[in-house]
Amino acid sequence: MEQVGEVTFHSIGSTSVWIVMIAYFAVVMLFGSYFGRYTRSTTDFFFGGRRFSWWLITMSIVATGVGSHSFVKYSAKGFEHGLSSTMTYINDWFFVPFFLFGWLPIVVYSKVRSIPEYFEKRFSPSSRFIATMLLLLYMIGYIGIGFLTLGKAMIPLLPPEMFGLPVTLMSVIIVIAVITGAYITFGGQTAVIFTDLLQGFILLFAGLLLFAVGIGYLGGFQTFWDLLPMSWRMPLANFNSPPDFNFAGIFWQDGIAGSIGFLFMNQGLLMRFMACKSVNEGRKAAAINILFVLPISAIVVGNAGWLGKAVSVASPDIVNPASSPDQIFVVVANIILNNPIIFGFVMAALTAALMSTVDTLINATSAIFVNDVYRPIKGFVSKKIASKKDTEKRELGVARIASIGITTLGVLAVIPFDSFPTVYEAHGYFHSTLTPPLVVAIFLGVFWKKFTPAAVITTFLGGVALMLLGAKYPGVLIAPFDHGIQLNPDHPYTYIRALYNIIVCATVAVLAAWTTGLQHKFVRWVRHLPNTSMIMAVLTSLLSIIYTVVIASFFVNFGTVSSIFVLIAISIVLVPLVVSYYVVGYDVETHTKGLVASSIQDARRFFKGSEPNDREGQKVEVHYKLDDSTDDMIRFSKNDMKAMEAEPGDLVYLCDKRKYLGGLKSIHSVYGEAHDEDGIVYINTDQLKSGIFVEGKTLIAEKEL
Amino acid sequence: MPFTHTWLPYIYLYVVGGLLFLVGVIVVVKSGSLDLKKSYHRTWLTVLFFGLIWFMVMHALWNMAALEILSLRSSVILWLIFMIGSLGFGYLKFVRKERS
Repeated sequence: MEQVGEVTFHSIGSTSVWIVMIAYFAVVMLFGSYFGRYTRSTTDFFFGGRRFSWWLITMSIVATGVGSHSFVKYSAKGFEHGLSSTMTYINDWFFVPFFLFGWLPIVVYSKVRSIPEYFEKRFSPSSRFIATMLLLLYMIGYIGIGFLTLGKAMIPLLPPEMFGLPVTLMSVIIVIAVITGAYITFGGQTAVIFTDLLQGFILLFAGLLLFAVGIGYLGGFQTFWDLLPMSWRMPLANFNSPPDFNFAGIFWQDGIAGSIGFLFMNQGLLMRFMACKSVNEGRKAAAINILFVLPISAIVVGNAGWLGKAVSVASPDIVNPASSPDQIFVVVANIILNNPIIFGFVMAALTAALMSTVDTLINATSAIFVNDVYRPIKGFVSKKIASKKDTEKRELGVARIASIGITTLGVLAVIPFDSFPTVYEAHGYFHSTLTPPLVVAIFLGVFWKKFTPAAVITTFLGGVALMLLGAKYPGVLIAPFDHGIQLNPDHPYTYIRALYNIIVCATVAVLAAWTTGLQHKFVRWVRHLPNTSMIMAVLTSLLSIIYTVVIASFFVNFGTVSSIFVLIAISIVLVPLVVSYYVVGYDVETHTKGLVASSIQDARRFFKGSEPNDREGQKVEVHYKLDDSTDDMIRFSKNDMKAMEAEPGDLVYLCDKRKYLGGLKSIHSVYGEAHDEDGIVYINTDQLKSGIFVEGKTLIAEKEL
Repeated sequence: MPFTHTWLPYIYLYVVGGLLFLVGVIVVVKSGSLDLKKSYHRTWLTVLFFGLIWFMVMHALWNMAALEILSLRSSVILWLIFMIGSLGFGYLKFVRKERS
């Protein structure tokens, strides 16, 4: 192993390590392709056919949460600050009531496929457009963080020079970006779920293996504990210092903005929950994940840093206390595991999960681009109706080009993120800056019926403008909320800015929603004037000028904080007036039905197509027989229907009894008219193919709704 | 160790976070999304409060072990008693409900 300078490392990876890594990649891809055969429709492709059990989804979520960038960033903070690196994994419970009984049932029952789609249904197409732009920025930023982490994880394995060229972070990231493009996700969501399931188990195993071997290496847990200084054993960081890792800032950035962002905005996570067989099963998956899996994950992702610190205290010659924090995971894993095959396996698990996450994000971002940008623009520009085949072919081409563009933007996003000392701080800054407007908009949209399209657009525009002003003058605007955290001039208020950003967005949102009556009065008044169109055109132009000035003032030094603030305040008054004038046809009752927490019953009615049947019945065991029906109904005996408390027309879930399959062999259907053969369900050949049921195997049926 | 690193973060976390949690519970109950007339929704309400206590106890015992108020061994034993006790109690309730 060659140590370059004092803190960075190169050439840790031997040939055996690379062989193990390549073999691992091949096995994971083959595993994914095997489960690709369970994909039979677009619903299967994107949502896994809504069939899986909670435990399967819980484990597959591990790779989404742990696999992304966690090993590198939490090991870094574990090495710098100790066990308090776990706090971001153990502060997600506060928003669970909102998620389990607000957002999750709405997303499933209203059948929205993406967050922008929710914005269109709940508000207006213009809200969808702005939400799409913000979401694309968020996802491209996330891809950038993924690339940065991959680059930092790979650099220590590579020599300082290859083919006569220096190995730099950016060159490694560009090569990774090309390979990521080729790392195809086989077969859609079912394959992704099973690949992530495998990777989830492996990641947990690899992390716990490292911890167990590391504890043995140090001489036992008590020795490890005693080696750590007292402040390093604390589960929560110091309240307000140092600026790069403090409790108050991280609570608002991660516990609040991050938790809502992760639960409410993460399209990949939402798609996992939508793949659960029912809303209740999704609730179980989320609750078990947060209660049990995340605390274990916190140990898995951070322990390399803690072990590194303990070894550096005991033997500074083995782990240099000044080692680069972002490289500590690779350095400690190499020292402690001390075996190229096991080390190669751990590194392969880490990089494969990272690549899988980045790849999923690129696919999801490209899907959002096609669905929420290309299609609306295409529909607006050309009214020509093409055949389905031609449309799909063209959209596939657009998706491919979009993927290349998104990957390029993701690579470019690495440049600003790399200016931060660690990935953790880059990610913290990114989260506290980009999530608040969307988080506030989604949250108020779901829980506040009076939140209007005018209010949501004002939140996006006015909120972002005030956030820019805060970023420009942090010492004036963010300082009142800093909880005593010192301002670091290089990266001012990396985390606590989330509190300022949430407060300004929420304040703008509430003010705009509370003044809805006044906005409508203005619109009614202006419509009666002879020169309405001209007045509105002037107001719209004025708004454009104001926002141009605000954005320019962020990049170029002119104006004072008060003058720019006054301009933004004027825009916050004008935006809802202009939006209220142009957005016509918004009706509170229609646009909130089934889309806010207070109308979940409407959402359930919409999902079923009739009144839900909430009588609690039992599960019944049945065997299937084929009939030649062509409808989407399945038929049970009268006694079985009675045991399930089911009526014809209710929704039913039919699944192979073997629990370890996790719902892989199952279907959703509708109860048909009853027959007299107890223990028999009649299904048709399409349902047999979709459920992949095996003749002679017992099935379990339960009423869904 | 200053108070800002011992108990202040813990108090802040569970006072501010706890308030947000309570607001969440009230909102979902008032909106009817968490319908306390349904038995499995009542179970969910118990799970929600159990989760909050779960993390509060975990952090409190960890803090005490770190500050050497309790030995590491005592903290781990207390944690195991709490974990096994609460999960066992939950399991027994589940079994009794299944039988009835």
